[in-house]
Amino acid sequence: MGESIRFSQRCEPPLKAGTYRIQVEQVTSINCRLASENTDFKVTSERFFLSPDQIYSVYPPREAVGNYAECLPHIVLNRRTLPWERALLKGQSHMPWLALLVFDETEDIRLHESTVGKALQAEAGVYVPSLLLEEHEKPEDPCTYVHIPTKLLSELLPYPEALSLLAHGKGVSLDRKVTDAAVKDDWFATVVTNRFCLEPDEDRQIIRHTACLVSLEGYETCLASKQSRIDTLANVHTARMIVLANWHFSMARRDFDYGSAFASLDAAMLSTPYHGNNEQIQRLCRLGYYPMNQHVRDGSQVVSWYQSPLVPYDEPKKTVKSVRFADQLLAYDPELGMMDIRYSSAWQIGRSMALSDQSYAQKLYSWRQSNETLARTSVYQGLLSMHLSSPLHDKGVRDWEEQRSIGYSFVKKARDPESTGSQASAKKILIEQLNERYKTLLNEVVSDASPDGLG
Amino acid sequence: MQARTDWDNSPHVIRRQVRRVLGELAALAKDQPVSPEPHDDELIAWLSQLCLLVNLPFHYLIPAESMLPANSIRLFYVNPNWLQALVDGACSLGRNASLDLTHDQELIDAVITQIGKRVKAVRPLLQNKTVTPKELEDEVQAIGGFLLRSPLVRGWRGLEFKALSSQGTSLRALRIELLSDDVLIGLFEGVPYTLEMAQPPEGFFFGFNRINGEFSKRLRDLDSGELLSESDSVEVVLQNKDMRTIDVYQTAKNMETYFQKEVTSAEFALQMIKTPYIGRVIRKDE
Repeated sequence: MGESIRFSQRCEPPLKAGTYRIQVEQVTSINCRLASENTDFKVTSERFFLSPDQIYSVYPPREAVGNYAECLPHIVLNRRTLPWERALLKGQSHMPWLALLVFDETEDIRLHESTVGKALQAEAGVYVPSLLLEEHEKPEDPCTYVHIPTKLLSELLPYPEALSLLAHGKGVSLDRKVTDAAVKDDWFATVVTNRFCLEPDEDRQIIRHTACLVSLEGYETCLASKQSRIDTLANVHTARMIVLANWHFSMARRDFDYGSAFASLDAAMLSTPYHGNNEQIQRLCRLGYYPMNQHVRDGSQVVSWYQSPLVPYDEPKKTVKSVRFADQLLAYDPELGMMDIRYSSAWQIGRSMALSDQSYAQKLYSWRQSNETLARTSVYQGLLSMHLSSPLHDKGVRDWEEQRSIGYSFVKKARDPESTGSQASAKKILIEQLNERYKTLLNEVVSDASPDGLG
Repeated sequence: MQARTDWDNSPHVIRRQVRRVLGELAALAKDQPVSPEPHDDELIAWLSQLCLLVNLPFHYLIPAESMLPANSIRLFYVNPNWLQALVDGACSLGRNASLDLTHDQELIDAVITQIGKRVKAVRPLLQNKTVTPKELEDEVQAIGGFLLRSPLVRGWRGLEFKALSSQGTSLRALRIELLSDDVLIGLFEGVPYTLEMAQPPEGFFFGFNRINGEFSKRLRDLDSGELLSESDSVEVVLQNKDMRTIDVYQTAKNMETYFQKEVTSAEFALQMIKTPYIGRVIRKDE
């Protein structure tokens, strides 16, 4: 399945963050000047705080403990353009404005969850990125920052040519994945660190690591050249960096990677584990039945067998039968003296789930209603047409005999020429009944026959 | 209401006629093509979600934790009769008059047939894909699948699953969803005998080989992505060994010298990823 991956060097947005101006001028050949028009607009994106749903995944996994000695940690971002949305250095638009830094516990790096205002506040001996807030950015917005000794930072921070190599776009196919509401695009951006992790010396020891996705905005001078980096950080002992995402993991000697996690899986068909000796129970458990307490209608409590829809064997499909209530689906095993409640439970939960969705319930009701009206109407209309079109002599009536239709008996009785007095009154009653029926029928057709949802 | 009491008093023959008409309606409904549009037939759409056990309380699937212990994967068949009872239960709302029951008895089979076709559209629609009506022509005959409970679910977002039947043909996925942080359900059209579970490609990580303090990386073919032979390795240059930093730029330059071609971050990423791992669960029937 590895063949389905595509890499891209970068995914730059059509417009980088910044202020833009649209100027419209009209030049005509007629002798007049038209006023030109300007509009300024700003392109911005989040730079102090990244909502967690922008982070697709991280590696090593969050809070994982394992041996990651031969790997470079990375973070995968949902928005493919994110690392390239800001241009920091002139002429280096392919350079991302984000970097991933990894620290081990011996470096004692602590994260400060604070606000934008505090993160940008100057402090003696600390290099703080000098950033101006945009109109929509408020000092009380949340922001996480980290203090890094300058000595460490000047070693860790990559230079532009390396930074460009540490971010790339990845395109994958979503066909075989979990359906994920947060993922709409099959391209992701990845930012990798340039530092591998500290391996513990002993078997039992674990070393906790912190990975931070930091913004490089305000650190332009540290990136331009080696000399300017030394100059910038000369008079400070600590540098403050804005952290957009962070997670922890721990290094150990024991493996915890995909392969080892997969190999430790226990695979089987779904069934109920049972360690007793009762053969009947054993048989039922092997089929995935599970004993459950059941409150029956008379108030007493019994133990019955439930089976989930997920079974370890191929159950042949039976014809379906609509029932009035769940208990009609109970099955009793006289040999065991116990009940099988699987289908009645299924019926009941289906009903409860339907009840909890009002719009579904309404639609179901109107669907059934319209079908019933349709059926009744067509039957009555069939009756009516038969009644009206029937010829006076018996031959026509006999034609319908085969159909055994209801109209036959009606019509025959109604049209019987040999009718005696009592029969005549019977005929009258019949026609009255029929008329009454048509009347209600026609009213009904007018009032509730709507073509929506038929069939 | 008048019509309903009317129905209950109507002679047996008329009832039989109405039942016959409903039967004909059912036959028509059964063969009606299913629309793949999400809002077209909301009843069938709702019921086909139900048939994929969406939102079904978890203990109905797994009544006891011991059936799905930590670090386990369980394969199963989906019992079609259970689903039919579930659908009938969901259609039982407002089934009051005997006419309603007659109606449902006649139409439930058609409804289930329609659902059998519509379930195939549920997943593509969730993925914002279009479904052609042709794909929905046939009814799903059998549903099988797996439940996975493992730290893999949490740690490797975007796991990829491929299920193969006993003949080795690839099965259509009907639903692959997280049920919780570490439990995942997969349902397929057919019965999976082999399940391939691959590491998410977007999560392929950068790695290198480290032998006796020497750092190196075995290269891949730039076009096919295949690993080249063991001798085709380049040195991974360290920037500062104590700081454990890698000189990414020099390493990329080494690759450039090898391939005689410019190496951008895309080629660099291709070279640096570790070979992905594909796990396979194979069912062996006794």
